[in-house]
Amino acid sequence: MSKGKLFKELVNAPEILVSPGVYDGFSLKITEQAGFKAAAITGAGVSECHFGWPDHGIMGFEGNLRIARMLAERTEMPLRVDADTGYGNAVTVHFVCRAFEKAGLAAMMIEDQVWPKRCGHMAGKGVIPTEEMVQKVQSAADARIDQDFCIMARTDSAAVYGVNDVIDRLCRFVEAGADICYADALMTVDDVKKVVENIPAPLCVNMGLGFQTRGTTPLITPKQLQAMGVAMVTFPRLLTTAAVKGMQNCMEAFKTMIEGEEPEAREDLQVSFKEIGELMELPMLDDLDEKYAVNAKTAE
Amino acid sequence: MADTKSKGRRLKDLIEAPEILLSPGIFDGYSARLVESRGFKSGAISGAGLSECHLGMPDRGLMGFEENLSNCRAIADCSDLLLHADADTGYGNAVNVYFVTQAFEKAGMAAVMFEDQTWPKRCGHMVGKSVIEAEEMVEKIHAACDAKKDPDFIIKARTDSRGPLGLDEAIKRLNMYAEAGADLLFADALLSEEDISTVAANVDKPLTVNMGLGIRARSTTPLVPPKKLEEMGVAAVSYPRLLTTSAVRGMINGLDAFDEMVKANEPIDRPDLCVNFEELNDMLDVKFLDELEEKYAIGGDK
Repeated sequence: MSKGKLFKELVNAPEILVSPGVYDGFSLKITEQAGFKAAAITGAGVSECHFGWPDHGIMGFEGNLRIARMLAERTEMPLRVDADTGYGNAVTVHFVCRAFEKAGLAAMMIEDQVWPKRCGHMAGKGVIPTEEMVQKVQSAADARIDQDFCIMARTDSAAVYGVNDVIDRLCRFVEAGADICYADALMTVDDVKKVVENIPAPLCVNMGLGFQTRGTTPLITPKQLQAMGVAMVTFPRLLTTAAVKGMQNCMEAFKTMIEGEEPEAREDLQVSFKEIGELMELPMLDDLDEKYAVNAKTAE
Repeated sequence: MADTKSKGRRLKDLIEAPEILLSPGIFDGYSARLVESRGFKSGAISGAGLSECHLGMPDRGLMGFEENLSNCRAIADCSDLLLHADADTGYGNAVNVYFVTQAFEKAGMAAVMFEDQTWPKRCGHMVGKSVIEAEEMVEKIHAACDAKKDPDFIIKARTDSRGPLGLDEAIKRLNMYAEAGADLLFADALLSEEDISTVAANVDKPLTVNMGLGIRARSTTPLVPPKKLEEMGVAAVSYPRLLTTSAVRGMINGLDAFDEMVKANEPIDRPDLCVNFEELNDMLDVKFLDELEEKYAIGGDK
């Protein structure tokens, strides 16, 4: 079964598909180990982690593609990539879609923001005319080689033109060939319900950090979302913010240590050397060494 | 007032200062920005961290030169830290090292480290290491020193010979590398405090050591607090595994609690597990982007 088909089946299953946002080797392997069936690559996380800048369209197509390919190569989970605005017009989208499909992704999200885009939960968003985005979706749908490679069409219009425009846009995107709809930064529970009820395709929503309400979207649990008819929920900011929290906590203990205190083992603050090795599949490397690199085993 | 000294010069000043220089290991935008925000002046880019984070692979020589370089450049482009690059074995012979040195200097590093392992290398604290001939490594150090444009760009020579060949050989090698022009010496995976004291007392250039996770011991090297290292005559210490292991711990803690949330009927607020959105954006210097927009992107939708 192609990754796209697998992803589509997971989205269409009666249970809501819950996907943490992944962005690097660590988050990918942790998500996989925790047993998630699919994951959504967070464009914000990729930009912040690999390029050190917030999600303001600083990262370009090649940077995004390189990381997405790496993530797809390192997991069996079907992955959805965040292709931002498609990095140009509908013609650009043709090549962007092909590239992500060839890179081993299962689904591609494309959004209707003006470029340079920004995180959907920041102020100052602008959206392109519906007509232009319809062309981009059509171009993506035509460009795919595997018909099951999923096109997820996202609108950021809620903050700009309101929920009725969101519904209008998503319906047009589905008509143009989108398999899944994504409405970012919906303002209320009622808006989420209204969108679900008025579009002819599965809906995916974004619950950000998972553990923290933002001013832009209410925090709704997966169970509640499922009851409302939402097909998929992503938590793009869950692991980036948890990783940074983990590093911050560690820096506090590190500061104490620098000031001369004897270090105490704080297993709550770090994983061990062995655990991180196992997470990164060191045993697989050892097996390959054992099998092929017979001379490498001499020392120590 | 802008500092007109080169990055290499500024890092050299910190290494030569009486106080020991602490460099947490960094590997991505988050760790670089966090370390800088905590007031550290320098960061040691961890080759292990780069490989794990950006390639999803353990530190076993699977990351190539170009990948290492582009990730180092990205860190230099978002940070004012004085950076140490980890150039592994230099990706070939002494001729490769010549070009690798120039590339890392141009990418905005203050120092570059070369090690005397055979390729494919592995993390210095893993079993199965082996080293090249000392004479071959001396040629690599020669090439690196000849290649640099800024005479203060720091060449850090690392030996992994303590495990396979013993302490005397490690000291002998470090002095050969010093004579070849290395500015900073690094003996990885020393086995005891006594080892560290002995090396510090017997090498001709400043010594730097690796204290791994920083707040957690590993079996290969004892955990020695920086004050004690300073008393032992160590000039600099890096903590390459400090932040990768804590980032992973943070993510695991987050996902453990997430599991409860997925089953819950009401949202759960856990500010202890995640930084908030504003704090994250502040750390990533979103303010700078806002200022640029204010100044130049006046046609943009506000």
